Amino acid sequence: MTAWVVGGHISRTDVGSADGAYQMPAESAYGGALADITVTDTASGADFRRLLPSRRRGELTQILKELELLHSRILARRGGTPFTTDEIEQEIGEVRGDS
Amino acid sequence: MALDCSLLAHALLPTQRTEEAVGALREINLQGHELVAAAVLFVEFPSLLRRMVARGQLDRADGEAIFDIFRRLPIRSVNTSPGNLQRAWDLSKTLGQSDTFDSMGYAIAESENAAFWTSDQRFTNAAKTKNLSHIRRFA
Repeated sequence: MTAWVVGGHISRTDVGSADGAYQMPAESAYGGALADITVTDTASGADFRRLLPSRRRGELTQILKELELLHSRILARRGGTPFTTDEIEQEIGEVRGDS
Repeated sequence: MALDCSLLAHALLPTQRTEEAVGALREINLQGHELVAAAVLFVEFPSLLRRMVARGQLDRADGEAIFDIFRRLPIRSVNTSPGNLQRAWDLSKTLGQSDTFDSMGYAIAESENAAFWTSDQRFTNAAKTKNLSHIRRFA
């Protein structure tokens, strides 16, 4: 099995096998970044599921907290008045150069 | 999960924020799925941000803060290949799209065996008529 994951290829020889599921060893040659990625066996028809490494998941948790704080701060500056949602599809269309 | 610009706009921009879009990011975080996006997203979203700041729809400092958050999101950029370029081109014609941005996002999702998460109603509606699967829309 060869699977494309963050940062490069891993092959069957890189991973341990247990009931058709392959897991990166805790300490791999790739270092900690890929250590907890689980790749199910595509050859057996199982889902090919890629997970964020736990370090990156922690980053997303932190980013979401920061986002909440930022939006709260912006809303507070407006005296708690919520924004009216604009037509974002039109805005994106203009960025893309649609007429 | 493959994300597009509209979903990120609804999640990150205070003027566009919807709880569904923010909830999508929370769900991704909870489930721990890897995030991917077409490489063009990394031009498209900052351009949208710049446009909103330039128009005065967003404070400069807020624009900087949102850009910093976007920059740090763990999204893997996926480059185009001749295969997914062809798929995006064909899809844009099939769906009657006037550009290939959304079609490329979907083609990238397909090539990565990922679901395509978007807030774009027009693309989602068009995709439904052609029975495209693995699309989830967050209003």
